[in-house]
Amino acid sequence: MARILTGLAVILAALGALILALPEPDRPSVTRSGAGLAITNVTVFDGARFLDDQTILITGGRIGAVGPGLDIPAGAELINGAGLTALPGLIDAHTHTWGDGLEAALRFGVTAQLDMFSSPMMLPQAQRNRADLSVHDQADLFSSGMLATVEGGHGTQFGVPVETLSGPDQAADWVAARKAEGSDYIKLVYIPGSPNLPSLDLATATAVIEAAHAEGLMAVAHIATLDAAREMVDAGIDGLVHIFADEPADAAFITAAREAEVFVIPTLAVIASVAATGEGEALADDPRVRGRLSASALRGLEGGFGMPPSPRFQYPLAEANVRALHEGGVVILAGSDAPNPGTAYGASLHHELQLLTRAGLSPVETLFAATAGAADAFNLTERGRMEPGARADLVLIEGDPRRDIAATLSIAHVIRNVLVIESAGEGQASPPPAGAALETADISDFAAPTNGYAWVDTTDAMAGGNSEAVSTVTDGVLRTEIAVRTRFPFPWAGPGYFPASQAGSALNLSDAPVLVLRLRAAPGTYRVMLFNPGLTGAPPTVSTELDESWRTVRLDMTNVDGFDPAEFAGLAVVGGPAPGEAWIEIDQARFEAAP
Amino acid sequence: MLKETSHVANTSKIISARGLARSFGRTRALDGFDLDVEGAGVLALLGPNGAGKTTFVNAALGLVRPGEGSLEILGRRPGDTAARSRIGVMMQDAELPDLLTAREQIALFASYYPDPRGVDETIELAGLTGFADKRYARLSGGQKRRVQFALALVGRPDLIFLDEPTTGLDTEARRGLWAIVRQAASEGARIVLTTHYLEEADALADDVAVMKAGRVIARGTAAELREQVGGSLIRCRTRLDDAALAALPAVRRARLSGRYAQIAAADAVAALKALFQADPEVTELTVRQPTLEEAFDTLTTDIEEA
Amino acid sequence: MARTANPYAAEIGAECLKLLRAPEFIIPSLALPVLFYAMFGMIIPGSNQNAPYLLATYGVFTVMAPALFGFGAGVAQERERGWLKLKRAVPAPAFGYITAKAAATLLVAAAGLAMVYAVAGFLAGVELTRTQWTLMLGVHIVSALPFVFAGLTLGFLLGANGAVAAANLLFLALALLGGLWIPIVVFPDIMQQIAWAFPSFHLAEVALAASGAGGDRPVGLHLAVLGAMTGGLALTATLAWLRQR
Repeated sequence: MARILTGLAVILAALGALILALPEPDRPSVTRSGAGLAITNVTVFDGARFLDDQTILITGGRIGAVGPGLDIPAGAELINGAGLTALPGLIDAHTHTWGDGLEAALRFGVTAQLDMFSSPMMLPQAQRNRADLSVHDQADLFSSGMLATVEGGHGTQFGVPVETLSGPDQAADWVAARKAEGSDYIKLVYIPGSPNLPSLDLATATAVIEAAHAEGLMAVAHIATLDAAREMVDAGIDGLVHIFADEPADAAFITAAREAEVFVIPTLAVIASVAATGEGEALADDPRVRGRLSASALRGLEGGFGMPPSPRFQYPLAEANVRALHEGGVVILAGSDAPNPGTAYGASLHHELQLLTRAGLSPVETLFAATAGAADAFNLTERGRMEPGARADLVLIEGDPRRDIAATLSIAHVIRNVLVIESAGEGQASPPPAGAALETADISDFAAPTNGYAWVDTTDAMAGGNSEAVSTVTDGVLRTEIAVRTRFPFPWAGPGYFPASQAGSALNLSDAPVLVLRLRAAPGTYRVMLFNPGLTGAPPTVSTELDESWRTVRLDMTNVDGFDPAEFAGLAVVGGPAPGEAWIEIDQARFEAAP
Repeated sequence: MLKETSHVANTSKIISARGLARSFGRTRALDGFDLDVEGAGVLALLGPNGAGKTTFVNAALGLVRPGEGSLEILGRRPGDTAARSRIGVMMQDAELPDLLTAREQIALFASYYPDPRGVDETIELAGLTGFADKRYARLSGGQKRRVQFALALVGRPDLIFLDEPTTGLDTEARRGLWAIVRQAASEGARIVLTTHYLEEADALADDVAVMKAGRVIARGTAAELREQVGGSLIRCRTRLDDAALAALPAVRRARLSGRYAQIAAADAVAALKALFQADPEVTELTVRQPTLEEAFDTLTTDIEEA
Repeated sequence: MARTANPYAAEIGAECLKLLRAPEFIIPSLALPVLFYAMFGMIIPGSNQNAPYLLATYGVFTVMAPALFGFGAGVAQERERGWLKLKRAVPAPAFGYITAKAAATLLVAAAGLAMVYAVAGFLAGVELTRTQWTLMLGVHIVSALPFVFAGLTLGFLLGANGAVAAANLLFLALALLGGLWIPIVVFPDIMQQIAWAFPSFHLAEVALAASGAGGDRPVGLHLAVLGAMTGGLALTATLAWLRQR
């Protein structure tokens, strides 16, 4: 009897010890404040105005009180706010959120993201998290889910399955399906006259807006031109999620937009990137940004679209139009369009604040655009204002953003519900060391490791997808049968050359940066994906058309945006994102010096 | 006609069964079963296979509900927790887990009872010394039966049922088990055993209830039963035929079997006198007391003829 | 002399001894899951990336063997030998046997889980938060319930040989068609639909959700289906038990 009880206790203790010993992922250092949190002597931006020398009391995940010289409850954790400014948690009104987007945003004090198109699969989790006032290390997410576009139109090129529309009669059902999936608002793409992409016609776009309103949802539109913007305002749109940069806004449009109470999310940060102004790189040089970015996010921020200059994207016009609209009384909101090339989650919202100020908004107006303005426009209750009952989503910054809006990047603390995230970011603060020297340039031995790397099958299963790849080696040829499926939004499957062990280090290919592949495949489009260490978002990718005849592909990796050959951590040749079955055969693979 | 032993009104009745009936399909396994048991000692429920012995034991254990009649065990409803905690049982067809040792099985059963014997004491009492720590599967048939018997003993029960305890054992193993049962009985428990071996009832029982077709047809000590079925058996060679023999005074039954006549006589002296008168040339004469087996044959045949 | 031991504790001890002394039970229950997991989640090149997913499904697999075989085959065998009848005749507690079998099964399952978790965490590089590890362990242990009831039903309804055969068949079907060995998403659509009929599939989905990798359907739906299935199996087990009395 006693022996049995002892045995039971030992087994339970062993299980408990095992659970405690099992590895956890790295997390930002956090402290909980159970009895509440008090921030004293702090300058407060309450969403509309600045108030000096205030006390903020936080309890139960909400703001309890804000005011001068409040009594501090016994046992509360204290933050001395002298020299600090407390802002309501920032709201990024234009993102495409996946991967570590919500964690990355929170490190920059962005406590809510308004997603403007991502997989509807994320919606249920997003809603659960929003309702949860307990510890989080993620920003909250609101989302349009799927967007309204036509077959082959903008939004269909990313691999996320999109239910397209071909006429106004489909609008009601389409909107009802989004509402059922949990979309918080409806996003549509209206880009008539686009040189390379088809667009919804005006009748269908109008029908979508009307169907959204009939379902009690707001409708916002992606536009690129003044004409398209005008047509959307006339059609009853609630907001525009980009500023147009093809021609100056005219008085008639400004009046119409103001009277229709349409808000505009200019996303100057991404337009600057499209126009290749070099803004993103400059931001990445700021140590306050760099220290909070993962290596891949840093590369993303330093990257660009690589598009030739276009009369549709004239950056100075974008700023001028923001100024004109703002002066004309149109509500402007802050959104980054991260993680497009040249942007990064969180960081680029601060960039947007700087650009909006440059375009003529005062610091108070700019901060309103990123807090209470966004909350009002999207009916986000409990957010965007520093007032009793609001969510305890705060960012404490050093310095005074009234004098310099860039002070928002001097983040001292981010407070999320009851969680205080210490100011130190988890991203690497210094550039990573270059990889090990290359030993074997020819990596065509598909059966045995070379350079500590081996050919393996890689699929989106590592990201939760359900694509498959199965390789065989026959007569020195690596043949991979692949099946691309759609459980993961950006599916892939194919052979890859990756470190043979977990401890595998990066390779320095600076002296042999040309990847040479002799290969063939079932006819179709394939991608070469390149990996640097610490990648968290989508890897840099180069597409190529292949068919059943053998051909030799040469890829100079120094020319691939966002990829650093000095730190090669793997490559993959994959099918997808279009679903289907295919095969890939690789005969030779080697690294060569640049010509 | 056979009489039942008379019952004295007794507050400490161990078993009281009245008019039990139970059918399985068309078979009437119990049919007007009456039985009263009190005091200590060994009672043998004796009867051929199918007489209803096991059905009665199962009813007494609460495993089978009689269709009619009343049954009280230790003054309780059968199967009642209070009754079960004073009962030990060795079933005819229950095998114990192969992977446990005798000692482990005994310890487990000891935990069921409020005031059990010590495990070592039980091992000694059941004659398990020497193989108490071997797994059940590795024991011989007789050893297995002793382990089962130990489980019946360990709870220090007031009433122990042994259902066909020696079926399938060889003579030596059977005699070994008898010795242990006798030893246990001497410790004061009331033991009810079922058997179709008269020898077993003869060897163990102070008291025998003979069962036939679902009821008790005779009750008494082994000697009383022998007495009831007739004093003596006579065997001889004679010229008389069986009808003539049966017509002799004091003869219950007679038959010719080969060269010999078999005569069951209520009074050997009277029968022999008449026999010698009828046939003075009787040779190879033997007279003996019938075994219980022979008594049992007689009893059950009487019922069939009735 | 007073009562020597708590009968439940004694019963649990006896059941544990029986399990530990049955290599034909203990080896498949403890060794197979961890070997399979190491094979498909670690050793086969490139399989490392599946390690977190497979941990959720192999955890269910680990619990299934002791629950199905301990109860299915074990109960049928002991019932056939008359052991259960003997226990009803003596003052053994009414549910002591079942309780003890369940406890012993859970102990074996917990030992199996500990090995699989250790391989996953320390060798295959699976990283989960403390909450996720704990939640998943909870889900995996509770996973035993529907299988225990299924095993009991077999044990009460079938003879020892029949129950072993049926438990094996059920075991294979639950593991394969429920997607415990090979992720369900690899199967053709029709198979994915068939999987909905198996509690193993839903348990795996719940375990995946606990590990932060839930599928398309809300975990509440799987829990609801599981609740209904477990209730149904509990009912059939009760009916089967009443029938065999």
